[in-house]
Amino acid sequence: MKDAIGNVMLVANAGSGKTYELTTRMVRLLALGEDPRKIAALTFTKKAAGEFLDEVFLRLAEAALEEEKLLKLSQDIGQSISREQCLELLDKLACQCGSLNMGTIDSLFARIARSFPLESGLAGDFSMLGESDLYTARTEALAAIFREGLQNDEDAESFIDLIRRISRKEGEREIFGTLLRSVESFHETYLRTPDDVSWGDPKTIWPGGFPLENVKDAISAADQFEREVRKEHPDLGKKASDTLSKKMAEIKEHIPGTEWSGPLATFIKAKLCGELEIDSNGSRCFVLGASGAANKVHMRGGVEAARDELRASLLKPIFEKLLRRSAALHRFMAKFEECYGARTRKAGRLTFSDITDLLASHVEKIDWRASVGYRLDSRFDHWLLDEFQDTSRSQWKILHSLIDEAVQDESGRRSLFYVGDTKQAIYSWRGGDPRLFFEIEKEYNAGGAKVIGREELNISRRSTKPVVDFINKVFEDLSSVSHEMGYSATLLKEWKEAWAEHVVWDENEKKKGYVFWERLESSDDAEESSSQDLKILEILRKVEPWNRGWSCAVLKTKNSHAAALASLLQSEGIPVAVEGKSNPCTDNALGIALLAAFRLVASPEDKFSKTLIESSPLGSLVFNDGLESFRENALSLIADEGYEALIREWTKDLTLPPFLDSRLGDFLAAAADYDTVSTGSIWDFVSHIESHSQQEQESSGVVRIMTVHQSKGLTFDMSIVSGLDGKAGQSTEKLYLGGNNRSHRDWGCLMPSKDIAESDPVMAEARNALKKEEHYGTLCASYVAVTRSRRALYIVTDKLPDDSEAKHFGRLLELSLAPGSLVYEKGDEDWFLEKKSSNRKADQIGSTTNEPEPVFLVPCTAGTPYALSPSSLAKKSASSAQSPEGAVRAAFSTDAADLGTEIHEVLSRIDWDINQPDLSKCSPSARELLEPFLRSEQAREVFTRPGEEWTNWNEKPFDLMIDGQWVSGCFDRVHIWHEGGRPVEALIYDYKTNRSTAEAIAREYQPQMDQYCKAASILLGIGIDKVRARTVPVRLSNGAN
Amino acid sequence: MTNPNVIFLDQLGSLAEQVAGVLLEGLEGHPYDLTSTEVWVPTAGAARRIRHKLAELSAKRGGGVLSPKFSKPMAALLPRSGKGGVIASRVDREAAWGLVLRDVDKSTVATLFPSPEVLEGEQFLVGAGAMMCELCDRLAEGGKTPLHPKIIEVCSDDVGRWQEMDPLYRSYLSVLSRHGLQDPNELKIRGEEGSLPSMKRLFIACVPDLQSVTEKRAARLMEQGVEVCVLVWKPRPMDGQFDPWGRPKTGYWIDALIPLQPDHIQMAKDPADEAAGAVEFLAGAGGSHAIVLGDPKLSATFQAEILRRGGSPFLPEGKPLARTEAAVVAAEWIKFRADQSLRTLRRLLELPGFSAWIGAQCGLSLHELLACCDYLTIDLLAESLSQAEAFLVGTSRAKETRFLGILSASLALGAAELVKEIWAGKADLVEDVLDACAEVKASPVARTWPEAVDPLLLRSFSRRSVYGSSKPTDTDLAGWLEAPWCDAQRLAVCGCVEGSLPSSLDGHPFLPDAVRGSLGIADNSSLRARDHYLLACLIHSQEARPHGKILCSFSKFGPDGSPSTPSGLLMRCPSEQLPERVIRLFQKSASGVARPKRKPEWRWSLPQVAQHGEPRISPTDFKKYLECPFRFYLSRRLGLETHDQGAREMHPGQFGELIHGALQRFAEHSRDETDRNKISKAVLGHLEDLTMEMFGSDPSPAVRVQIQAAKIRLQSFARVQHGLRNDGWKIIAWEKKIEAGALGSSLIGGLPLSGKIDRIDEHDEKGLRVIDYKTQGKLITPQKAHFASRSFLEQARVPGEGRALYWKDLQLPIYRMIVEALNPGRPIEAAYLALTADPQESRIVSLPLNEGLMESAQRCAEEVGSRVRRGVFWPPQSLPSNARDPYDMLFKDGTFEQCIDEATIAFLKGVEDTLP
Repeated sequence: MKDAIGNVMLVANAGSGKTYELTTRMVRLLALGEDPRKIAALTFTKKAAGEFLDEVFLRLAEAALEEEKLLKLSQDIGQSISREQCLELLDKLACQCGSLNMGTIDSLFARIARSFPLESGLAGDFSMLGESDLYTARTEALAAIFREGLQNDEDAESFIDLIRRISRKEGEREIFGTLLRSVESFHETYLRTPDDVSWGDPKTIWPGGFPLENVKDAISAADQFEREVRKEHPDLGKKASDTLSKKMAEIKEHIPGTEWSGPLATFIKAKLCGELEIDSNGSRCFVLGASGAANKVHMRGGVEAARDELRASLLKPIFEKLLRRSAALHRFMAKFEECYGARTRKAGRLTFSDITDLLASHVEKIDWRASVGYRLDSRFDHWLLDEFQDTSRSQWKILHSLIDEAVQDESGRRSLFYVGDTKQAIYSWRGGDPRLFFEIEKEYNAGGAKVIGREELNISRRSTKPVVDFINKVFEDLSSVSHEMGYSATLLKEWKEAWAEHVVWDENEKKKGYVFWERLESSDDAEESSSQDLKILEILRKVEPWNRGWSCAVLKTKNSHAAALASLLQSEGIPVAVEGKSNPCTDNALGIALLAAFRLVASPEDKFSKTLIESSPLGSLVFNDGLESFRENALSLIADEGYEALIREWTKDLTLPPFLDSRLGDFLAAAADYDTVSTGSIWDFVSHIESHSQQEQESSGVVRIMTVHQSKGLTFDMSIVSGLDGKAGQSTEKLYLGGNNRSHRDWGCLMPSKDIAESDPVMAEARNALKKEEHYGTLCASYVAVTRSRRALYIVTDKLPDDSEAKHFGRLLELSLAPGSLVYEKGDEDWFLEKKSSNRKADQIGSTTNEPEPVFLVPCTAGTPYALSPSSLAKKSASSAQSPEGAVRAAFSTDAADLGTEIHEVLSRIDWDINQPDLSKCSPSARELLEPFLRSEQAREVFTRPGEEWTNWNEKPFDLMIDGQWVSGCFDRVHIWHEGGRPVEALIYDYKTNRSTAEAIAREYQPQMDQYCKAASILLGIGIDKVRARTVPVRLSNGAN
Repeated sequence: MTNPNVIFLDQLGSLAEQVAGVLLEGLEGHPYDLTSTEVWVPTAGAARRIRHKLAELSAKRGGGVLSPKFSKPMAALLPRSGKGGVIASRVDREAAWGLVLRDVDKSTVATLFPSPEVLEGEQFLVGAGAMMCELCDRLAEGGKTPLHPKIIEVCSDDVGRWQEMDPLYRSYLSVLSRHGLQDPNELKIRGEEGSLPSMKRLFIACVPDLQSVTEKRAARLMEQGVEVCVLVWKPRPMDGQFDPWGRPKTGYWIDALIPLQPDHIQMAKDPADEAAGAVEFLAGAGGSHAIVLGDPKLSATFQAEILRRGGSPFLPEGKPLARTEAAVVAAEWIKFRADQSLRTLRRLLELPGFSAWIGAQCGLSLHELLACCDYLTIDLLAESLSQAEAFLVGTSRAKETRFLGILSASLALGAAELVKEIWAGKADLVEDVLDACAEVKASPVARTWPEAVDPLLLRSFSRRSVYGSSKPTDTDLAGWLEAPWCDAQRLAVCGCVEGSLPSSLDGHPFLPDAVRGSLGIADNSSLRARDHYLLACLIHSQEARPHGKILCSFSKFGPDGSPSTPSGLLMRCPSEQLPERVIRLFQKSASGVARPKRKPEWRWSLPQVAQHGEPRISPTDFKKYLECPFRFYLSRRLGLETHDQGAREMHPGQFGELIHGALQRFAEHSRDETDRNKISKAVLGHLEDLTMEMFGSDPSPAVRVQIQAAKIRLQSFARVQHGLRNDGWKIIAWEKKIEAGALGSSLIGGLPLSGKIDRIDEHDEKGLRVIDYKTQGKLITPQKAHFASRSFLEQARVPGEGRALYWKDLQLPIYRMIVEALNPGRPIEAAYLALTADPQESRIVSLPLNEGLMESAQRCAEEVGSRVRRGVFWPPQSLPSNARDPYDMLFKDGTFEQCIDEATIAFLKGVEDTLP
């Protein structure tokens, strides 16, 4: 019996060796004799999946070669393993390479979905939507809603009303664009909203009913408030009195539901919603108009109640509008989803999120798990899940349905091993829910059960002491900064649960390390990012990691920032590689000129594009023959060969420097990809190229620039972190899905602003929950960013004003490290001198001088042989449109033949008896031709046996060589005269169904007939003068007779 | 039963030549007659190469050959005609399945179709029908139909669905039968005569994965006296085990070692590297080279690399018919007839065939057609034909009217008719498309279901391929099964990654791997064994060839950037070599060469345009110039405006124009109105008229919603205007043209002013107020709009203490100057009438302007005017990061100086001021 291996949850700090533990577990399972095909190892990124598989193979291979590694492997897996066993396991893995289940969760789900098309509402296979395709699909669906929603006046009115309800402002001028952005923001949320829940429904938000339902209107509430204040404060100071009158008048004039003007908003927030003062008598009050006791309004008598009533009356229309907008948005999303689903999803164009949703809807079916196992040929016994903190609830729903049995297996022969670090949960924006990580353990271990064991990895095998100390110092105790950073108690609790002190690995203890943080003076908003980039440039120039063999990364928060930095560093001669996704088609002048050329082809009036092309070296090449000709040629080439061919044509005479040449290669590849999947318009193509992105692969010997998200799972000798103190992006409205149960949300609503939300406990809680998520995400991103370094960590931020209330990482650093100066540093600043500089000038890195000369292919002599077909000779003389040198390659076809083929087929059945063929089975059009033809004199001649010595060939294909050229063809009919059993003369008949006269046909096909004569002469071994050939026009109505 | 005769082809040299040699064996010349012979081949390329070798060999013997019939085995099973009726085409079959699924009682197929929406709509019914056809085709390879009892037995985990399939399949057969059609798979399985009636010999030429149904047919032919001979490729000295039909034995081959040496294997970083490596390897063969792509997804990259290296690639698999011009015309026409969208029309116009056809009918050139379409979609923002037509009624736009008239009249044409019309007289160019159309038209089943004709036609396009012309010197990008037939000194087998080579199935809705073997269909093991065998043969064969070499390559990352797993075939080495092999295959990707360094090698050489006509400057020019002199040059001098081809609604400028227009008309016709409701009615009436003029009676949906937004703003205007009237303000001028010399004799920087003032109001006591309408989203005060904290222009500085302030717009001060010049001595106020998205925010907002400010504004304006006059449009300015910059594409290579060429910069720096 195999050993029980047990279920394990592994909680691991960054850099503590998660992947190593996963591969160890995998090897251990294999060593225990488990079938590799029954192990599912799932990761989040494709890259991690690739690395995981590599590691498993490499560890076994290295152990098979080196005694030391074999011993280490034995220690790691907790059992002795021999070299032979390693070889055996390697062999087993190699044989089953194609059946291993190591990949991403998304790829497993896509495999499952491909096996369940009909269950998923798909009539066949599906394709994955790329980012630009998704944008186009959404745009088209939205345009269709507009079309359908406005088909008649009645529809139009209600549709316009719906749109207006969604808009924040009634007079919003950008409609389509705004709705498209709403779709981008809320469509996913809509899909995650349970079917029985609609947004903005007060009954579900406040189970006791909308708390402001019975509040009086603002006018009477303002009157009441003013009355009460004046009653209780007959000696109210003049300033206060005037202010009171003015503000109450403004309130009464204000149109309910619309936004308050600035001063009125300040008054309401400060005086009606804000916290009250406590004066020296302990009385609660607020000051109105001016300071001084006479201007204080105290909460006595009916004042407080009237204040509450007034506040409520002012908030009521705001909440009502928010509810109305939420409900309208939900209705609109339902409409959008209906249209999008039918046009895109049902047509088999899916996102990974769609796949997850589709599968999640199946899991409750009784035979689901069995069906998955059956259709995928995979019944997994062991599950290894990496980066579990990024799993979404929908993903877990599906995984749980497949995994549960393995976890609960009492024999211990099936297992779950999941690894995660909830401090690195940076995918909440796409549904990842780090809380699941601990919830699962709690649920399975409920009631004291020990179904899942817990293990922890706290030793940082990655970083040196200064880096580890820095991490501990910043992230260990967030409670001390929680007030300033706005961290809620829930956040602190969750972080505490995730946190474990990072311990320096013995082997790293003595290595030199360094942490450097500088706050940069920034005088102007517009220059913020550039001052950080200049500092990065300075650091890099000092360390020269590319010259010393240190791996180095610069981490940014956005792709666009990474690209901007790359431009700067490249222009300063520093070798860089932008990793992650970038668009090589639009980041250079050649790409811009090419796109302009495409735009000009599509739009004759596009003067801007024309000027761009003329301003570039491309202009002199493409406009040679004038604009009209440029456009006509371009459209012809696109129609015939595709976009890639046109770009090649445009650029064929360009001599490009290395950088642009490489970018041209990228552009061509992107165009070729487009050509293989799409036949879209030029607009579609341009838009596709503009949103094209390319995953740049790892590079060495260069400074790697990437986003924090892309750096996850990677390690560098040094890293420079920048931009974590950036301002939050444009504020987009947030929609909160709430409820008691995390896996089933009961309600949804757009969130009010902070001041308004705080007036209602439900909304306040919802807003706090959203805020907590946001803060938690920021913390995680910061943690990921600063835990990438092996040796040295550099951070640059902008200096904050003393009264800053920022909630970003820069502020966290200021609060937790409390530096006395603009620079904070620990460790050895010269750490990098450990390796000598190769003193290569930056210009020499990646320069073209070292590139080998390109090798050229000589014309191929081993391609598919080329046959000359006699019939193509005829066509060659008849039609100049036919390719002169090409032979058309025939397809194998089982499809119904065309008329010509049918005629030939029928005639081929006639030996010498003209009545032989049964025309009743012919198609009407064939019959129409054949009946008169077979009655004709000419047919009688063709089908009458000239004498006993004559034999006949019908439909004879032949292959032979004429003057060294392979000739391949087929005789329709050949009469052969034999003497003494040997052929002596031949007469070839070739049927023609052309709509032409006999003379024209004879003329047109003369070259073919000549060729036939030569062929027959060779085949029969008779002189060419003994062979004659004739065309036989079958269409008598052309005067062929 | 006796086994067929097996001949092992173990000679050196070309496999095709060996096959041809066997075929000709024992034949005598004049002619070498093989017409009673049938040859089953694995691929079309194999047939072609064998025929070539037959020609060559027979020529050597002094003759030619009457060729045998070549077929792929499954195709060979199809009779020439069905005895019980015509053989159903694929269109017939898809339509028949579609009809069955359309009419089935959904409750009886709830297990098979748990999502009933799959069975709604012709497109999806036909799609589901196609899926059923595929399933039946797969089953037929094992000699089975869905009714075969073995299926229920083998697929015991899936009985429910197969049981529901039973009556569906019977209904399908009966639909075919009702139309006098027979299912081709039924015929193949029944084994009715398919091969040559006169067949005497059958050669199965190196088909390593012969389907079991074809094996049965061959066995039956043997029983009928046909001589069946199986040819098996087994280059010396390779060992191997085969079944009687020449298939590699799975048990043997799956464990067999492959004699691949480390130097045969090349690992690349990505497909581009792999292609470069392969081409380099091939280049040493002096032309005798061949490439095989294990992974078809690599073909685009390999084509590109071969072209780069001076070769010419050819794809023997052909190009999908759906990508040919005629098919695209047909498909887009089908779409256009359904949606009548102008965006679909634009796609049609980009197809030369269509544009030439429609252009000839309406007498318009390609340029004119595209311009018409741009006008309708970009200027008019029309989405559909009907919206465009509604606009054109009564207008004088003759070209558009003629174009749309002819287009509307053509809508009666079906896709096939349209293709015929366009390519009239050149039918041979669109033969394949017309064939597909004819196939659908001829289908008796499709005839009974007219709604399905278009989806059936589109599916037919997507199924077919067209085979282009190749030159004898082309390098073919052959598929894996063509590899044995490639006859070259150097052979590169690329894309050796799991899933592609060996190929494998990764789950299936009906026929998972586990059941395939029992149903007689190829499964993963048999496919793997086949590929093991073929690779071993290739290595032996290449190694034995003089100077023969083989390269097996794979890239660590696939075309989409995902990591690939190296093919297990590359690991079939002796156990003791495996660790080194694994380390080689799974090592970290070879670091790519650093990308060539970015250098500003292409700089924009912009047109150097001097001022046209009489030089002028408008009050709005100052803002543009102060923002960035270079962009000012691009927009004002060069007139470069971006062309938003994707526009679906009015852009902010158009929206502003619409509102301005309504307000101007209000001022002109209804300025004395005092009643708020009447003001509102009047201005909305003007809006309505303008809308009609700009967009016709049926504006596009997005525009209609925008018009509603405009109404809201104009209603807020009514509120503001009512207040102004109540306050005593009267409109005294509107659209006031600024005449040359509006400021008296003085010019601004030597340039006269030109432009228009939106409106001037007068108050008996308060004087004059010059007003500019603003239709921003949010209220931007004139203060915010006119001042900045920095500027490149020192003369823009506003004198004063404290924080430095600079002019960034001079519109209101200039207006005030003009009105002051015309009305000396009167108090004058300059203000915005802001009509914002939030109607509550709409109001009059003034810019307080004291003497000091006016003086500094004048100074700044003088400097700007002077610079414009002197042609100074440098230095460029960085825009705030949140600003939309239509010219950002010019600045991709770093600093402005790195992007713009020196001559342009020198020109833009202008000339020194020589005026006194």
